[in-house]
Amino acid sequence: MNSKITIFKQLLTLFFFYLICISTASSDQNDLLGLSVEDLLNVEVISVAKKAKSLNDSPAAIFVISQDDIKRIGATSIPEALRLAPGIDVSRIDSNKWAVSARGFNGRFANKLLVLIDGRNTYTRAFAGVYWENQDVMMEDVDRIEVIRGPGATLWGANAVNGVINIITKHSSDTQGELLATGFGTEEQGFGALRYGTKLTTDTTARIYVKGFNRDESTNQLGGRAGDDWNKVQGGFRLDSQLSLQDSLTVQGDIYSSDINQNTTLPIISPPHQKTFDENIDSFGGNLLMRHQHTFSSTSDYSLQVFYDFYERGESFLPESRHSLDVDFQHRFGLLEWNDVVWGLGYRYNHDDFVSSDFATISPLSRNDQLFSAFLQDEITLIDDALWLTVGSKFEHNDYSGFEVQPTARLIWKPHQQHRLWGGVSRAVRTPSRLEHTTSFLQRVIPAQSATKPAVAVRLNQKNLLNTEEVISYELGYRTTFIDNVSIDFTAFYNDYDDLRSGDLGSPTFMGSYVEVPITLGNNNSGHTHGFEIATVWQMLDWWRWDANYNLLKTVFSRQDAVEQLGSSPQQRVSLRSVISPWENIDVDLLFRYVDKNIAASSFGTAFIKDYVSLDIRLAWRPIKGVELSLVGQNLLAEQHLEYRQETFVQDTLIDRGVYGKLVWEF
Amino acid sequence: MTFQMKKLVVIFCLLLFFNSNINVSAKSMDKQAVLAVLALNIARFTGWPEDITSSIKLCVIGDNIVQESFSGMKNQTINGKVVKILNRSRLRNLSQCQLLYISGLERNVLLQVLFDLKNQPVLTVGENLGFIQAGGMVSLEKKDGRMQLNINLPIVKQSDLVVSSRILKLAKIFDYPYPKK
Repeated sequence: MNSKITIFKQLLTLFFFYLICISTASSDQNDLLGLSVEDLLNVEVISVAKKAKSLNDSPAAIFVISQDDIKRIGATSIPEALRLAPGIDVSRIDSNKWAVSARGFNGRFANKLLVLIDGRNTYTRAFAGVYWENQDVMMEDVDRIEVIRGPGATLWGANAVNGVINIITKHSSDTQGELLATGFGTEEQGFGALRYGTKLTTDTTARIYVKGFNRDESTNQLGGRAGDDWNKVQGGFRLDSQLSLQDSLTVQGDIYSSDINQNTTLPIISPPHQKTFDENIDSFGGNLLMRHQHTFSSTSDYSLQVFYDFYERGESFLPESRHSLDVDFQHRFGLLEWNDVVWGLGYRYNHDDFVSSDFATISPLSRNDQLFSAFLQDEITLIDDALWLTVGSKFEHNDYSGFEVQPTARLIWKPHQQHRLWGGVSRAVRTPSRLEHTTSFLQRVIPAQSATKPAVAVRLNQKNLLNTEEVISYELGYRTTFIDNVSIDFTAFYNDYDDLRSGDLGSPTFMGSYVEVPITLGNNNSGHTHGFEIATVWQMLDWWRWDANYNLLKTVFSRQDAVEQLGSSPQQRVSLRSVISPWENIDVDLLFRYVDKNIAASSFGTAFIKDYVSLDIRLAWRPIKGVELSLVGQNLLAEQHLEYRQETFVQDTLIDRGVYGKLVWEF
Repeated sequence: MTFQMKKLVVIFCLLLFFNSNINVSAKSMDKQAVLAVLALNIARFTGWPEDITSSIKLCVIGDNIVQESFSGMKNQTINGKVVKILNRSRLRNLSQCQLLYISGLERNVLLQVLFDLKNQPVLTVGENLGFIQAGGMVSLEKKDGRMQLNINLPIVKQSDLVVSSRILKLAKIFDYPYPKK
């Protein structure tokens, strides 16, 4: 037994020794300096993977998910791709719903993360967050996803409290030709996407696409069918034109329709105090965006962007339709040698229509609201090529909370080519949503305990206008590529929140057969979060890379009942990814994740969600140029597991293990 | 170290030897390192219209990887003059450069940078054919595992720069005019 352990230890030591040996082997530029131009043109060159060498120069906690990353983990939706980013809490509620947030406060109706797709804000005023099931793109056409943790309100405005996600699709000149992607599996029951890209004139390129999928239902608590299967069809286009040397125009749009199944549970007064039924939700929408960019000089340009977005959802709780029109102007210019100024103006118009149901009413049923905004930011070079200060603020006026100021100050220092040190202080606000204002619905009914203790119905009866929630955030970050083939990105933060949303119980009224307790929303909570995030990349061999992320999050609220009302995000998350390309036409990818236990606040009570581990594996083979076959296994370590419980409507749903095969053909 | 252990070391060293040969032949070099040295060597065979009194300014626009690939060249000399490497990612004072290496710019900014340098004696070097179509002078492109040199000759001549025939012989010559304003 002892000798086995010794051999194991020796092997382990050798393995590390071996890894160190091979990882320090690198090409020497000095050898090249002795070569003539003729020789240099004859040298065989390889493009070494850049990920372990690149250092971001922005004074913010930014992480970039590339097209290659998205492809190589086999992500079939935007939230699944976001699992790659450190510090982002992605929890799948069921087949068609996700809870996504950064630095705490997660939920289906999470309201502190801003998401943009090609500059289009996907925020809905309904609950001040994102309906992830509405947001989709052709995954093959995504160029990159920029994930910024921490406030981004100075540039992007209210609700960029804890983070900003920028999904950027490829320029249409980079998606020329046809692409077909199709496959099927156990959870991904069938999917297909077809794109066609073409050159319309010498200066104009365009693409059109159509995609669709059918996703299987998950498993409910009792091991039965959760009834949450869904399907979606989406199509869209993008056109890019270089109108002149100094003018470019982009026009793009999408339209989608989905059929979402849900096993809905809603509280009712009469016993058994809740009603469960299968419902089929029709959800459809679309958008159209136009952006004109004009360049004055190398250091000066402006862009004018206009978009229209609409969606309609037929949920029985509170059917809704919403139209948004957004105009955004930005001008960037260099001022003297040491200033890079960017300023902008924005306007948004929203029109919504709700239909009162047996379960909920909102008043008025239809509302128009407006948002005016302006911002100014200056990046000042304090020491050439070494020290920069960014200061700026957003000023905006919305119809709910009035005037808001959201300033930031950030400093980045480059002491050496391979080190970056940055810090920042920012203020951001989360403005009230439509559903937090003049809404009435039954939140939960507690059954009668005895003849003398009748049933208690808790009803949200919101009449007052809420204030904004506010954060002052302090961040400190360090990035380095000092160790050969290793990059390390570390960020620590302290977020001080004030005026957080709270629910306060009023005095009970006896209603004959039950007691009704009103609950009113207020801003009577405060607290802070602190923690850190680490993202590391190690290019162990030319053909083998490791990405490891870890984050720690501590949450402290002033109110004792805050966790019951707001829940608590996982304290720790770990992800370890192995990216192997043993041959040019073969990919082997593994993604291992550990997610700490967390607490979800819901109308069914507080849910303690166990910690879990998961493993995804992808194997891909490219037999000929333009063809790729892949096999993806997701959540392989358990038959099913619970990631999150939604705040209302849906009972606990377990996410199933899944396997699918995929073919991508470019022609 | 036990005998067993020594045996294992030998096996691992053998493994190491084979490993380094799996994907990459011993001769292949990092593309970015080759690009930087090529840019320096092209400068060696370029003549500028006015005598350069002090150092030769080799300016670089690009991310940290690109900047680093050039940093090894700061003590080099060209015709007895010291090469000075300058980070110009903030796009200031570009016309003071003798050679400007450009990477990673958005297309609209690239077009503008090249237009602003029109007829100025700055040798512009980029990384693909799109670069010289946008008004750049020299592009270095990876083709079949090797670097290919492309030169847009009319633009070079318009700027009163002289690229030696030794370089021109190795290059693929193009004839793109400046894009119209």
